[in-house]
Amino acid sequence: MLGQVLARGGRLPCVDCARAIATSSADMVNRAAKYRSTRDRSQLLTYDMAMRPHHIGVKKAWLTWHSQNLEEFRQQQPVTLTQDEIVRRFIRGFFPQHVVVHGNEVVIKRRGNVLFVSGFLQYSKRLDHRRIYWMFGFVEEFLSLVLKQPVKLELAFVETEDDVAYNYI
Amino acid sequence: MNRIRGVLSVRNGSSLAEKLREATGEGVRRKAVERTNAVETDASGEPFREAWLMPKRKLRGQLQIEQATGRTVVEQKSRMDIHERLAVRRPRAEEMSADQDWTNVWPAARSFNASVVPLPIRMSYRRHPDKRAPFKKYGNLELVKIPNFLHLTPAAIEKHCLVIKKFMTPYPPELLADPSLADKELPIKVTCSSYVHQGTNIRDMRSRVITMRVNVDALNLDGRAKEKLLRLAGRRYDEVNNLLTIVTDRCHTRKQNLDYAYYLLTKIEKWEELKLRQDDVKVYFSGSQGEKQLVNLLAKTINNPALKTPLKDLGDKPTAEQILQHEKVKDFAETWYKYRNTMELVEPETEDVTREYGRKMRELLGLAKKSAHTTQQQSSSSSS
Repeated sequence: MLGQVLARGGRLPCVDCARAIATSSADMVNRAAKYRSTRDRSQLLTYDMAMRPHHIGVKKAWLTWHSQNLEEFRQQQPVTLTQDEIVRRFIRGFFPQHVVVHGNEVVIKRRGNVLFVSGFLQYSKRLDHRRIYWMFGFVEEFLSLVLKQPVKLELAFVETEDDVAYNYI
Repeated sequence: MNRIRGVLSVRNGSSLAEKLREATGEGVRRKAVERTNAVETDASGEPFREAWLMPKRKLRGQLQIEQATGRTVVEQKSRMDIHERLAVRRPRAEEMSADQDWTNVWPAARSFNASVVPLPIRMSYRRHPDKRAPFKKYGNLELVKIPNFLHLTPAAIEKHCLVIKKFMTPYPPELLADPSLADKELPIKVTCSSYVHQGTNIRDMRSRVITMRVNVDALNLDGRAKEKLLRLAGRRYDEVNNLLTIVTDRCHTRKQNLDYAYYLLTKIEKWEELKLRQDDVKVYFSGSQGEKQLVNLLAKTINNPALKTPLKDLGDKPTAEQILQHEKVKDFAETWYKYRNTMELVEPETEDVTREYGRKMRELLGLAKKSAHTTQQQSSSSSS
């Protein structure tokens, strides 16, 4: 930061001048939701990644479905948002070998008081059925206790990540 | 060479054999002649054009050449055990028969599952869908995202209805025959709304509100009782369709509000002592200022020889009661009442009504009828 300022020939900021230090993260609008293409076209893009943020609701749907944003039905928007983040992080951390595209694409739907988690997992070479069934049961039980409402997993398995690939760039 | 030819003769149908034959120089001329002659045409004279299709993947030979020259690196995958591979089940959708019971396959609401749904579905956006088909069914997250109605097939709904049929009673046939009977026999209609949220909260403040509609005619009230009810109701009464609407939302639960609505219907208040003429729902002729003035005027009119009023038969000095009891005055009082209490929505005030009122007044006072000439003149002046 200091080096940049000096290189540009700017004034040296005084030590107690808090304005010179930006603590918030840069928003990088021109880079958001854009993926670098590779020479050998090996960068996998799912449909969700290939479509831009402004295509949400037009070419692609939402990753979370609930009625808390509807007019006259706003009761617990922040709670919903927090629950979504908890579920996503937990799925990502609990199935590290099985998640596709780094576990970014987990669909969360709410129906009544039940929270449904759907999306795709991959086999990753060998799939131990008994282990995976236990893990599913554990996730449902654990998240139900944490969120104080029933949680159901509707995750489907694909063989490899290539099955969800929409495009390679 | 001879031996090779023998082998070639076995594979006469193969194009590779032809290529080799061409390479050895044999039969080239013959082939060329045949090709020029063998141009097939169909009925409309169009020649048959051969389609040259190349596989999209790289062929094995091409891959081997690229590998040998070091242009590509083909990674070797470890292959699963043959028994393990055979044990992997094909998607369930491929085994389904056309006459299966779908309601057993998909009994309840669920996210889309490609291996279960035997429909050839694709879903995604493509700029040119004819060049490149939309994204396939397997591994398609868009299909998973959208809510589906695969559990609400007509067969499933029929099944559901058959199951809950035993809890139903037949709709009253009398009401089917005569729908207007519903208003008469069931005069009270109670409306309330239930709200379902996605979340753990089942409460909603709006669900406690009760709206009760009562047809006032069905209560069989006499004039006094009806007036009392309408006085209490105020603006809750709609004169046009004769409905009394009571909305209660002051209690915490729906049950309490419903009870309160019924309580309001039976509420009793002392009101007649407090009532004044201004409080009347309608304007009545008896006791009005107009009544007094009319009696005074008519008393003077009777004594005036120039006016031919029909009240002359009452004598020279009739009392106020006598005047009011006269048939013509009663008739006028009725017209007056109607004229003052015009209901805009039912029968709006028109020129004819006003003219009728004027005619009766003139008759009562014994004034001369308006001649056609004066009427015309007046109407023309009013129109201009």
